[in-house]
Amino acid sequence: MHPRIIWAIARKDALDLWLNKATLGGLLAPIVLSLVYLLIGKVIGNSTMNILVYNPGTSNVVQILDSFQNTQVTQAGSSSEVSNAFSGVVSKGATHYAVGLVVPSGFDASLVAGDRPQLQLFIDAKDVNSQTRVLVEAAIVNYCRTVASPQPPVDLVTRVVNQAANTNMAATLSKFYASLILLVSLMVGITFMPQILIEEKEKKTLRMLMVSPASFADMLLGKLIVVLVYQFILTGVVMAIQEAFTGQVALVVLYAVLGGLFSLSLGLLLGSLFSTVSASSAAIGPIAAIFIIAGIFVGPLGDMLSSSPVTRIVHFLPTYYIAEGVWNATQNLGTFSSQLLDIGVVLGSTIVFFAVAAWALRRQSAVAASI
Amino acid sequence: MNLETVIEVEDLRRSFKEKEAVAGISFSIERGEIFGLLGPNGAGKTTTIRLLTGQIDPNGGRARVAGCDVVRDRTKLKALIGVVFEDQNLYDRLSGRDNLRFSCWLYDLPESRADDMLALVNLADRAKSPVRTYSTGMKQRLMIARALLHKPPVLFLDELTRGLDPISARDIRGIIEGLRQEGTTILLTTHLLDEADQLCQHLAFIVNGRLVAGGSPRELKLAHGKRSLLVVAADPQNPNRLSETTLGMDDARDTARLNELMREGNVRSIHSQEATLEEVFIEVAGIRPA
Repeated sequence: MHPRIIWAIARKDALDLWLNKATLGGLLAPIVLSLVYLLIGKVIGNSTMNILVYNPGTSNVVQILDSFQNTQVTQAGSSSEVSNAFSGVVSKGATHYAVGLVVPSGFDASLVAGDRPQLQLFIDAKDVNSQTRVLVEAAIVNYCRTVASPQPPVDLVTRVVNQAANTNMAATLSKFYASLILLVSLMVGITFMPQILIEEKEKKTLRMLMVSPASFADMLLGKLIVVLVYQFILTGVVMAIQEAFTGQVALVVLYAVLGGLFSLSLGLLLGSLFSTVSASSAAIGPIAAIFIIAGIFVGPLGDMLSSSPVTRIVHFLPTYYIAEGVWNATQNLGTFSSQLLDIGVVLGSTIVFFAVAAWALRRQSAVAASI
Repeated sequence: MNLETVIEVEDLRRSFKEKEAVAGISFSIERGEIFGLLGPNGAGKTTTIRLLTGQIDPNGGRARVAGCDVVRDRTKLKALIGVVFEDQNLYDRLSGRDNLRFSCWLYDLPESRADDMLALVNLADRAKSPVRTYSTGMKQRLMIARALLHKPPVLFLDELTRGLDPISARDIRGIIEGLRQEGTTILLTTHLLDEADQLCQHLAFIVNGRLVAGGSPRELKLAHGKRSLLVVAADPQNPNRLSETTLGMDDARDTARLNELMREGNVRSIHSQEATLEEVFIEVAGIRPA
């Protein structure tokens, strides 16, 4: 391996990617998507949702509500203060609350003990639509599941007051969207890694490299570096736009890095399978779509879809564990074992894909001249 | 190995599945010599170049290029050779200058070398244009510049002027001849026999992976071509009407016919005719070149 040559190949590929208008459009797509979503969120979902919470035991379940976009959580002094706020008898000048929650003392310990503690959830239908209500309920149940898996041993009692009104569901999905947009940004590796590899074969420039001082390993490493750098920059930008660096930031960064490596190893594998860009493009589109879809099956939406048989299939996709890991990390959710599972699946599949790709490409390097 | 022998090939073999692409060829090339490997498409010319440049391993035999074994000393070999490929394998989104700058980075050369080479092949004025906007001849000149960038003592040229217009082809032949005079050893493959005749000091004909004849162009023509005379004679009935007749010098009947024309006193002029390489090729290979 020659660092100077690896750097030379990385510089050339960076320049080539920059000059490739189609590639440049693809590189910017996740950023544009993030900005569009941000704009929609700002335009439609700018109203603040006031939440009144009685939480004497300081359970983390409150953070679930706090994680929804544009929320303002107020601590109540008693459970009756919460129930009165939703009784319809509100004194003039008092704050209007959209959601109320009464958490019993020692809630988390009761969950672990299997005592089936009761949570009282108050919803003002004027401010919170039915979809958002389902998302809130699902998020609470999901939290309980992470504390005491597998079944949520909680008695969630929801009381809805007033008539339904239209509210912005998109705003409540902001955090969930962060994990989805991360998967979208990972498409850089899956699409561009094979492209720059296959182009060398298709345009026969690989032959030129093979008679130069560059080795096949130099060539691969140069390409991996340039795509990885693009990948990390893009992921960082879209995650920042989505304000995803919250909660357990170190874990969020870890998933972004692991996701980038996974994406690259899969891209490398695809690059080893195809010899023409057109053939690879036809296959990469559906593969990328399948991998992105996994991001829908996490968080509150995942809880809503948990009974769907598709969910079980999605659990076979490594990207599901990336999205779940990011979701849990941004929400301060998840246990050590669940994070370990997510990290293990992503890391394991990355290693497997990389090993298979390395084996296939090594075989190709032996006949590089005849590619 | 003789000190002046730069390329030495002994019983070199390479098969692809069932097909034997190179079937035990042997030859040697001296320093500062242009050696032409001629043959029809699929004869084994390109495979021979791939073997000698270390792109693929031989199944048998051995070859040394610039003192390097093509299998064992591959890394060292790469610094001593330049290759112009049959396919125009350039990075077409990059400019001509950026293509050469990339090669400068690979060979650890100053970037100013790229500009020197662009000037050498008359591409300085298009240095910043994307290669996709270049004509076929310009791309070929850029590939030559790329191959010469690191001043290799040995150059491999695969179908050098294929697809070029006569002016571009002449310009490129001029560059190659200049390199030879500077001492570069060149192996070129072509199916253009006139080009080989003009450029090469030595030729080898390859057919079905085997060398079927070799030598200098003159030696090959003398050994394998038919010697003939073009006789211009007047018509005995109408002395103002001239006719041309080609007569073989090694054919008894043609010799008798020539004597007869001479006796009649109608011969106006006689021109000796040398065999062409195409005739030699047909003679030794039994087929017409592609």
